[in-house]
Amino acid sequence: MSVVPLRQNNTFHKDPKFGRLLLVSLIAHVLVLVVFSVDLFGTKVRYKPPVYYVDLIHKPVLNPQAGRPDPRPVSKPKPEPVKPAAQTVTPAVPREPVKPEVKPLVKPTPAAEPKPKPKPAEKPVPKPTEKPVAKPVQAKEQKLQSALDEIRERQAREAEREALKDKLAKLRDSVGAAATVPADVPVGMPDGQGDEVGVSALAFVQAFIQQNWVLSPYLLDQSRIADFEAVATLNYSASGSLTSYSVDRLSGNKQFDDSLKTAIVKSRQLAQPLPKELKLVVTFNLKDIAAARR
Amino acid sequence: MELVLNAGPVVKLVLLILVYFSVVSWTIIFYKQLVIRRAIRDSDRFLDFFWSKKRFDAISQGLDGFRQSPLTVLFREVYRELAQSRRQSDGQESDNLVADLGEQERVARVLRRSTTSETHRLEKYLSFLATTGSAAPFIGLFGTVWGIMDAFHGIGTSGSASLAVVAPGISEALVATAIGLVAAIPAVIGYNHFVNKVNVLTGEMDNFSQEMLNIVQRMSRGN
Repeated sequence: MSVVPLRQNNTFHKDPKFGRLLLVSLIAHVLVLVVFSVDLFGTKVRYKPPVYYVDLIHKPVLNPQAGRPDPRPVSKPKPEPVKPAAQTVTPAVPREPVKPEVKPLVKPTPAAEPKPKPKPAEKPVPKPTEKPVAKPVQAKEQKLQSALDEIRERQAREAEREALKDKLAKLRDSVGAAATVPADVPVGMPDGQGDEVGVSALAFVQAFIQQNWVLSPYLLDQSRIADFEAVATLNYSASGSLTSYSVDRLSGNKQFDDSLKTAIVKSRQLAQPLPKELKLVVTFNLKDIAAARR
Repeated sequence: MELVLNAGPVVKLVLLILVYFSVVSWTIIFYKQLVIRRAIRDSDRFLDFFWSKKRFDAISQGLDGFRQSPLTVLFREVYRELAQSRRQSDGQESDNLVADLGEQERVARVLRRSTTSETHRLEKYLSFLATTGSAAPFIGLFGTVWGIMDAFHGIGTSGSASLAVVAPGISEALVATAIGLVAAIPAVIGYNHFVNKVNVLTGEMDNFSQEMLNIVQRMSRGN
């Protein structure tokens, strides 16, 4: 009896090799990935080139000179129209010789009420003049009187202007130092003692991080009742890159501390290079940040 | 590319799984395309060859030219079975009618078995395409849900719900769904295409089996 062989169909067909096709598929996927990730056809032209905002005033320096850190609040056009008006009046010829005579008259009058002043000044003058003077002299006296009145009016207006100027100066003082500083004050720091134009690197880094800091409105509201403060040590390279950082003192509020770390990481590249490699110990206070944002 | 690199570890794992599904699916698509196209081409050529010849031994000598056709396998198995039964019947004396009926049954069984095995061969790996087509979108959706959970956690930490904070996390998460669909769509299309082609070939095998049985029946009656 002969032995019947089992079926051996598997070797009959010449199927393609699966491993080779797997390699082809893998290469196809890599090609698709390359096509999508690399700009082969210049399709990225439609994207706008990145815009870099360069702050030429806030240049971080080691020893800033005395001056203002921010020149923007100075408003030139408003005070200017007042100055030329005063200048046009002052050059008037009769002003200089009259000054010594008028000052005692004007001094007792309050600066805020210019209108009632001329009236008491007019009253005493005509009384003594009318009684003793004879008719031929009357014409000269009248002329003198009118000239005197004119001078007094002018002095009154002058005094009014001076009072307004004083008021304006007081208002400027109350608004803040930035507003009082004229435009030609050099850029620096209020407590600067060096000779470099720019702001201190510490202030620059602190402002930059605070700018990148995303704080919830709830936390900002809390600044009225809570005082969160954290201290961080930041190591920046001369190119403005953050090399390492550590939060030395946490505020105790998790949300504040977490968002501070996020802001520091977000500020890993400063907008401008630093004068040299720096290790900065920066204090972040919630109240200060909230005040700056209001 | 940045979206993928910035994604979380779970989303990255999901993306890796989806890439695996996609690579293997395309491998199967290439494989089945080659196998089934050759099978259809060789089947057409084999049928022409088969009906042009009048002797089984002449056909069996030319089978090497149609190796990818499932019909070739059917014929080869029937021929082998007939040759074997003829060798056995040459050595034994038995009732002719009983012997003929037994031979036809054996040929029918061989044809059924060969058809089944060839169908299985043609359907090989198609189940993976079906699995990819149905599971890949869900795997991608899982990655997206996980990524959005992460994004919302980040929003809670930063304390800001602005678009600048929300949008990057969600777009990173949505990449998983996109890759899931990229893997699933070709798999579903390929599966439907190849199942249809396999059905066509199975139909051809059934028809060929009937023809073979008729021929064997005629042969046994001496027509």
